[in-house]
Amino acid sequence: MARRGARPALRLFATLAGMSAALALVAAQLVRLQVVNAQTFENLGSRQRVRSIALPAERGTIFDRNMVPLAVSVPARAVFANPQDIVDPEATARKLSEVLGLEVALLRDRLKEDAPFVYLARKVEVPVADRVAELNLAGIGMQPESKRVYPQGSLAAQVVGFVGTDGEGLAGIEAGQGALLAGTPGRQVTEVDPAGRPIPQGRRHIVEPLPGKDVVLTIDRNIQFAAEDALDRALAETGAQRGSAVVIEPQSGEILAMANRPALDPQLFASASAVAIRNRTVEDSYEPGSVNKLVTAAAALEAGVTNPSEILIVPDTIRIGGKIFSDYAPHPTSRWTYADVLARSSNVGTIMVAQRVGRQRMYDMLRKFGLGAPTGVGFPGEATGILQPVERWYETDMATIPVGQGIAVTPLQMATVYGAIANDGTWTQPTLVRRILDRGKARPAQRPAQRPVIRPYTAAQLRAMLLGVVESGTGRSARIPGYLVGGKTGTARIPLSGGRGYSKDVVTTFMGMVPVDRPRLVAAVVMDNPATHFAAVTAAPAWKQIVEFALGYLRIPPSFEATTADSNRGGTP
Amino acid sequence: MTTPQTGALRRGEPEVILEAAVHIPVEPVSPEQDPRRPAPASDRPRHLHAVPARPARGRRPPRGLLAIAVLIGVALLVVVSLNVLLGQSGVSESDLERAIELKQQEVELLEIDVLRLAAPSRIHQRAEQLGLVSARDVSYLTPPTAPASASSPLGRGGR
Repeated sequence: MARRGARPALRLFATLAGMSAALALVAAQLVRLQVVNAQTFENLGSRQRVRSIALPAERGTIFDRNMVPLAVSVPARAVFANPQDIVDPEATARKLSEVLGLEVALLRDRLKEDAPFVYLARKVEVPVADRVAELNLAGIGMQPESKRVYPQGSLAAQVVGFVGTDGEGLAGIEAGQGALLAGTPGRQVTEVDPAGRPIPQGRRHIVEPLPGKDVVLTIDRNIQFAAEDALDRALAETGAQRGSAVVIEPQSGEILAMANRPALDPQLFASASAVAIRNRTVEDSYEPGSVNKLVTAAAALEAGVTNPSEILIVPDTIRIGGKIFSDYAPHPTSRWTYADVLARSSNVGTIMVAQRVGRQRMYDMLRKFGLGAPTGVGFPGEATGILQPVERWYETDMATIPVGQGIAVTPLQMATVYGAIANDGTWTQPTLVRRILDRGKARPAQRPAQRPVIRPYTAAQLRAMLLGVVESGTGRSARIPGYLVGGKTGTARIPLSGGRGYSKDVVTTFMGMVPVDRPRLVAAVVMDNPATHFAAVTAAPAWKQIVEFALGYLRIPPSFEATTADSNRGGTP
Repeated sequence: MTTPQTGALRRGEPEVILEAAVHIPVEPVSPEQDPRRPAPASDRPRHLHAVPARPARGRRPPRGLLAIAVLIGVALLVVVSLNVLLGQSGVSESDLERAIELKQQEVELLEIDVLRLAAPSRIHQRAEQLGLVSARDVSYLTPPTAPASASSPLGRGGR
């Protein structure tokens, strides 16, 4: 009876012991989960449930001077895949191909990649991305990103530049002002359900991105278009391979237009040629030719070694350093004033005057006008040009440099030289950025540097000489009815690459200002390798077309009332 | 658990508490020694009989408590319902936010389209398609009130 009575107690004890053991196991597991490995499991859970998304900062807009957007960012999506989660790559690729418009084979290969993450398409428009999301494909996801859009197409494309796949500026203002435009990315942490939808009342934490600053350029969209249109026509009419044009306001140094041809589509920069990508007005230097004779004239007038009305006896050749230099066309020895020498673009007459100036004063004047140094326009990759130190000048350099050979400048550098003459002898640093907008608040751009180069009287004398070039010299095709135009033609041979000497190809240039009595605009047009070697029939007509438009557009009043005769005289070289 | 029922005991017999499952023997206690039990009446029949159960008045939960419980239940139900409603509203809000975002993006894209169409190159192209030609020789008229005079090319720089 006693043994039988002990059994229930034993059973009870055994049951209790079993339950205690089980409970201990559960407790041990609980400790393991909640204490020992708590962080690990919390992390695992968070990884499944909490989604952290980088919020790209909206890149700043680039405006023209009238607040017309030249480059803007629009929302887009990056479509990606986690190949390890793809069950049927073939079927997934086929479905995606229909929406994304990509080849099935390409998508399939990416989906089969041995990688945890692959991009399938970047910069996808939001409606298209939404259609991908509607497919509800396992292992396919979307990331927000932005897409750079250039609403004006190829307008000022080499100036504005372009961005890479990750939105980083690669060229032009996009690169030069990249730090301002980029902004600071934010982050969004959200708890999501297995379908990827945010859990209401779930954890949500957002660090708002700081948008980039907007950049307002000095470029005027309409003058820019006129410049590009003129270059297109000039290229078609003259057979030139390339062309560049700059229009600046001489007093402020603001660049109103900066055109380059061949054209560039900033959305398709990867397939563009190296030449089309470059802003050649700033990045490339060339031998300016006769437009540099104005610097020689400035040096001569400032040194007081001549004056515009001095009569010079000018033969058609001159020997310097054992080499003979000649005018473009043979002519009998002539009695020309120095103003005539410039108007006729006589090399010999200019070299004669330069000999009086001397190499040191010539070099000093070139430097004072900013040649051989970057202008500081703030454009990435600005070329400095080439100006050898005076100690390294050969004797013949005093024949070539005064007429614009043996020296290299950018079109912008030479435009600022003419700008200084238009601005009473004060050189003004050219500017491309007018102001910066930081969330609506305007911050004016840095004031451009200015420095006096020549006396105002010398500048006025030079303007009068430039008027003579257009009225009676080589620049007659740049005449504009009703306006007093001052300018200078230039033609220079292109140096052979990697060797001494020059090729048969030429660069033609026209630099000028208008109205020459009170200059409001300075413009430069450079044409590379046109069929004819005369700037008067290649660069000057394009210059006239650009400036004529700008005068009307900016409502710059004419210098005098144009007569029928005035209207008819234009256009004849 | 049933309440143990006891009957009258015969003298000298051990007392057994009747219970459904457990029978625990106890030491015999005389009625005189047992303070819980009154002494048996001499005329009482000495056999077991069923004692009718008395209604357990004291064990019935008070009505107030019941009402509170019901109220708590209802409140819980309301809270749960509100929570569900809040969740649903959250989902709707999320959907609406997404719809607003999409519409804003649509507006931005349309604005870009407007800018594209307003670009000078586009207008120029369209004008040429419509047969317009660019003005070549522009003439300017000077109003008689402002007599025009050719200023000196020396301009401001004159000494």
